[in-house]
Amino acid sequence: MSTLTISTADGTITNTEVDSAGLLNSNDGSVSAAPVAIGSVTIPSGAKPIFGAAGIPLFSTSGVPVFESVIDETDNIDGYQVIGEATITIDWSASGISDLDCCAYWADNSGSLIGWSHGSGGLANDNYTAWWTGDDTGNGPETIALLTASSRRSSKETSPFQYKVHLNFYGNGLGGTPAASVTITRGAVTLSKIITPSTNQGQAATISDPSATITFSSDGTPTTIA
Amino acid sequence: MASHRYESRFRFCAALYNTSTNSFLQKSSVGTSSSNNASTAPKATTGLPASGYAYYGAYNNYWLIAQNSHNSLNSKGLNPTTAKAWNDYIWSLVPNNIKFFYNSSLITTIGASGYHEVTVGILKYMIGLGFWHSVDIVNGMDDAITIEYRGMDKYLFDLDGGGATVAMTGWYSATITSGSTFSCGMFEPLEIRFDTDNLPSGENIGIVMQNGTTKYLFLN
Repeated sequence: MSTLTISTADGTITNTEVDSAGLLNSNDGSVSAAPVAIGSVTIPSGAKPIFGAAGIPLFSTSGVPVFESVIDETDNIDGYQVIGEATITIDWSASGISDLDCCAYWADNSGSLIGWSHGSGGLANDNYTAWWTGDDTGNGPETIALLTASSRRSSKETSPFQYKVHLNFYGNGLGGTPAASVTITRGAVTLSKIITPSTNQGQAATISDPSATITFSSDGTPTTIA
Repeated sequence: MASHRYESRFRFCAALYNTSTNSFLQKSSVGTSSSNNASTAPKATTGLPASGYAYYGAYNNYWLIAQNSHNSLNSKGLNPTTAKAWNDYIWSLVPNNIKFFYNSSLITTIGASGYHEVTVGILKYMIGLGFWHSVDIVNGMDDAITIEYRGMDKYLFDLDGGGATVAMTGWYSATITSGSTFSCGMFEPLEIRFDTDNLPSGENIGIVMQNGTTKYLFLN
């Protein structure tokens, strides 16, 4: 379940002010929900957007496709920032090896792969909505963003809902100790696991390489990483 | 219905800790809730306060008393003169001091929800306090929207006397039909969440906070 929480603890719910006469103001005002129209957006070429209401493609101003369910916005509707639903962060900065390669997929749909051996960023497809960053950082971290909520997860996925991330060091020739952390974050839930990727220098990651398996509950909350 | 903190309604948990022996002398496990209406508050016992009625919560020898801190400005007494006259509406307009007594002795005055502690000699008084807070949620959408809300249930005191953490209630759910208003209230910290999974598909929604400056979008 994706949610936005407001609280008296962080000031999004305000406390009643006291006026000069020593009386509380009778009303702080309500919290209201209202329809919002999406303004003009810039669509990077070669990327496939998710379409929002009225068939309008959704992108942030930084060019990152908007596929997430919760977006933080203040005054400028075109300046919104993706908060995110679920993010997988792969970090191999401590390994001393550059260029880690990735191959990731929903367990029931291993034919629909994403990762740095399968393109340089973009959405997997309409059914397996996921986004990964370009293979543009030698020492990481790099990320995969994932829709996991029941209403957005592919209907082809069946319980147990699992996502697999396989890793191989493309650049093993540079030395170092092969290790990488795989961290899934969704809302307040963060799970992490350190695995030892393959060291097949110059080869792309495949589903035969060591992997981390993330299991989600039916509502999309990550429950385990193994 | 106004949207605001009710300083006449509060819940607290309290503990008395001996810093010399590193042990609790007393501790409330659940805390004591005030009633939902100040007019039902009984007359206080001797010294809490000395006269009049008081809106209070108590546990063993701990007492938290709500008093009108602006009585010189608002022409209302420090303490209610009668139980019936001081209904919830009247109290909600009056800023109150919350005074903490132990065995009829004033220990400290507390001004806000949260965890408070004061040490007198070797005794540490630890108090978790939450005011009742009510907020109206207005649904300006064409479709129903589901919200969930929760608040402070109790404070859990650390075994080493180092402080306390708040334990929240479970989430309560409410569905607000189009154009309707729902008032949800709990003891602070009050939390309200909007469930995007239950939003109508394709809706883009702005959530306008009480300060009027922050908006949130849900893209569904």
